[in-house]
Amino acid sequence: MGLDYQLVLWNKQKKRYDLVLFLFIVIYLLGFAVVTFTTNANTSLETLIIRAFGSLAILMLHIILMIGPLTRIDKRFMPLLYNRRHFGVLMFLMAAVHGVFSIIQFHTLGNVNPIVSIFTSNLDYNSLTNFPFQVLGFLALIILFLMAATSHDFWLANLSAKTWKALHMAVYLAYTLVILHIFLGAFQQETSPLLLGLVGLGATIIVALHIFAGFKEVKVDQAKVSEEDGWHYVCSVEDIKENRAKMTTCAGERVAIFKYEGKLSAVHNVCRHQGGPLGEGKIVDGCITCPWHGYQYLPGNGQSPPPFTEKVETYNLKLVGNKVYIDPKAHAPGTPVDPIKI
Amino acid sequence: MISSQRKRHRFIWVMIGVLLPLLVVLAVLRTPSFPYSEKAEIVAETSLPILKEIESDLFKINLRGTSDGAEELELLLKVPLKSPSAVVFDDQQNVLGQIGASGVYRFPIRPANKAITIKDPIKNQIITEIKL
Amino acid sequence: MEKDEFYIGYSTEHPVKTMRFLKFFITILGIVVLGVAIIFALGQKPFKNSTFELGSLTEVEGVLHLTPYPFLRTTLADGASKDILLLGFGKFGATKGLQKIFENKNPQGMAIRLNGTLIYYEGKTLLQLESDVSGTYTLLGKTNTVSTIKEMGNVSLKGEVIDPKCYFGVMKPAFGKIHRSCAIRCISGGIPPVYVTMNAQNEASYYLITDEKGEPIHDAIIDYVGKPSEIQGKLVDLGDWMQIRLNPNTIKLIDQNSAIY
Repeated sequence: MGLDYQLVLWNKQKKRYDLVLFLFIVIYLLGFAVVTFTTNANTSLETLIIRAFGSLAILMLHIILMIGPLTRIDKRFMPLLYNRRHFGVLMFLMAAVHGVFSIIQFHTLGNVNPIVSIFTSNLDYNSLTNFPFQVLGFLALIILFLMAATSHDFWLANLSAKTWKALHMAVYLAYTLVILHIFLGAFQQETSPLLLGLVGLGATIIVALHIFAGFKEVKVDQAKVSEEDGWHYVCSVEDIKENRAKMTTCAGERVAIFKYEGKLSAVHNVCRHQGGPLGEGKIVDGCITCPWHGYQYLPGNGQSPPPFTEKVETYNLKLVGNKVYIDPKAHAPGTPVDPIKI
Repeated sequence: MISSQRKRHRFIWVMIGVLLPLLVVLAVLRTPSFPYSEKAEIVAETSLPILKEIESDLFKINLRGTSDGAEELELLLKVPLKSPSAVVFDDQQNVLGQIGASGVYRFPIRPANKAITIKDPIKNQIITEIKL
Repeated sequence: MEKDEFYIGYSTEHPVKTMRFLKFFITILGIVVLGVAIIFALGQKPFKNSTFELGSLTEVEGVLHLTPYPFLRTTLADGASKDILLLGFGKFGATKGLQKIFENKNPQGMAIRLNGTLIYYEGKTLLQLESDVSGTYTLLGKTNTVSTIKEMGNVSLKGEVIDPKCYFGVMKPAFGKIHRSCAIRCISGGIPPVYVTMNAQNEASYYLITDEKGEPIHDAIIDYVGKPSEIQGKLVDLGDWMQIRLNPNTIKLIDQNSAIY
């Protein structure tokens, strides 16, 4: 939300978040190294590094992917979402250590260029068990690199939100590639049921969380809306909590109706920053505040308070008795609409 | 999240939920295992009775022989030696043989032999000395 | 009235209940992180005690033999000698290094004192020549050594093709799918392919692989590296090493299913 370009807009929460992440990384790497040196001391340093950083990266990726659906299920997980991109960039760095060490270990000092060797040393592309698993890991690392490199809001603004989001949806492709990289690679000979069970558990949890959260949202999307003379019935005024909103669906997209200072206003639900659900936000200091990163909009006109320039669409409301109705035709973003008095 | 994104997420996760377990189970079921194969070289069996046994973390030594005395030194190496070479000498610095890989070794030995020394000539080090 | 908690990241005050929940969740997560580290570490298969004396040079004196692959026969004691397989720097064989030392002369039978890095495991010893061999050797003249080999007849074995440099010391693990790319690089770079077998008592045997005529084989065996296979060929006892002469087209890949379940 700053006007000048800053690498990271540090605040106490982000620093704490990153501190906890560094702590977890140190705990993991030390734990892995200590256990390996005490129970399997004949390891080589390169193998230790490759395995420690690789397994750490996959653990981090699993936790990162859980954050989204967890916040859908319980709002108290929101603080984890706030600085998730730092988590992602750190995870990429751990994966990069694993990837670069592996390339150096297995493909350099030979008779072929190391990057070419990744793709050509094993040519069994038409087999499942013999599939060149390192290619899958390499492609996943490229995707994670592109995501980490464009994680700054600068790219969000300059790549267009649609392109940026499409690129960052590729995390799901990267996840699939990494799981296959593990099961068609290391797990083909490190066959301990412990490893199988752990990664299997992680994948099951993520899939289950996403499908559960997804179907919860489907119910909201498919809720029937009753229409009278072009007005949609939303709810009764008492259903809306003070300084909070009720959401309804208009023309396929959600809309948020806020109650504040004895008034009602309606704005488009999608925050201009990263698509956060404004309807799950709160009125703070007279502004609608997005629950994801705290972006703000004035309820009367859908505009961000100066000096910010983001705008969301606004809607007409009417009150019949204590019943709230909305006109589903949206006004252009930033159009002032007089709030209706309760 | 806008509704088209929600639809895309649902599609992706149902796909992942179906395809990923399928591929993973297939990969696990078709994991190759290392095939066993008997050794091409065979170490001859022995029928001499054991006269004395000496055991340590690295090896087990059976002195085999008859009532006239020990004739054969049977050495079972439990773990591969961590040396580039290992020559077994008797107490008169005669070479009995070499060891290295884990497994059973048999060397003919004089009944009067009191000890053996295992040396690494490449690194010029004594690996161990064993009194018999 | 229940306090309506709302978290704003950049704010200096944070809702109490949410932060308490967060502390609890992060503590659990920390335990999970440590637990996963321990489980992944314990799940590793045991590593072999193979050795690569990286950074340390050893001088070995012996006589050079070139068939089937370059090796140095060194006398350990009266009646005891060792055949040390020679390797180049990185994922390469010893041919280039020996060419630099001997130029147009035939290295066969030449006595030499060589400085290199030792690699050893399971009674097998190898020596990696330096990337720049100048100053690492002393020529000691020609000898009249004769290699005595024993032909042992046909044999059928099950095991895996590996590269000896990584297997006997440089990498762990140095077999199977994980290491396959590196083994392919090494063997195609001139390192002699070796066949490793294991019996039910976990005793391994090693065989230098050559073609039917006893000539070195590299690219022709690439497709079989790092995969369980069955081979048939003529067994030759070289003294310290065994050799198997085979036709690579007769190698059968064993497609065995998992022994886990």
